[in-house]
Amino acid sequence: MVTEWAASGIACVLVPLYARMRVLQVAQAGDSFDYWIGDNEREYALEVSGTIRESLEGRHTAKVRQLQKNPYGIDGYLAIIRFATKEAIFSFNRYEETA
Amino acid sequence: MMDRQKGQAISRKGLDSAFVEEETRKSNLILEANLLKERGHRQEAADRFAEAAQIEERLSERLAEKGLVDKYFVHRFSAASCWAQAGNIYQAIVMCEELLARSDLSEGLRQRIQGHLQILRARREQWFVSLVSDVTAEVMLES
Repeated sequence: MVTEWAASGIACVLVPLYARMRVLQVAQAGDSFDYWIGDNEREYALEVSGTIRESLEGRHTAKVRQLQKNPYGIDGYLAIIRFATKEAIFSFNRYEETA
Repeated sequence: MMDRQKGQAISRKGLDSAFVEEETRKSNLILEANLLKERGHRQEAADRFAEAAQIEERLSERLAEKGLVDKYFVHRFSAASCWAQAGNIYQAIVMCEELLARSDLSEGLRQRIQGHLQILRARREQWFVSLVSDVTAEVMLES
């Protein structure tokens, strides 16, 4: 729980810095992402994930799949933070429609 | 609506500061409700969800007026979800059914709402059954 909130705090810094957007609102349980981010024109999904020692790449791959299942059919960002090594991946991911 | 050239996003063009303020307030209520729920403060959590649901309903009505259909669906479904978490399953079911009646609802969101509705109806069924047996048991104890 603490890891999750800590990762959210870092994501709040990464979003304006790298995406030039702000966190707008929290998503609903089951939305497949955590927050809505955007500017005055558009909104995207943001999924945040924190880990102490787990591989960033492995977690990132799993979260991309999760994000791409969002019911709104929108593109989204991922913020994955590894606290043991003070590393993060912040990526933009296109929605992939599945037949 | 979606603009594929610029990627798939939800439009929020033309929303004023009053809308943004309400949206932020609603979001804070949901975060607070989730924290209260985790700490076992069910009544306080339900109060926050109910307040958030009412705000979501107002926000969705303003989005409908502005013609921001995709964002309307997001807030309308969020209102239904908040009502369910506040314990008002009837209102949540009605709102989900209204959304499913819309022909302009995307397939992905339609599936999500259908899944949610199925859970809500199952919960209502359980509640009806347990309510009748609890009330019957109470009457038998009193007599």
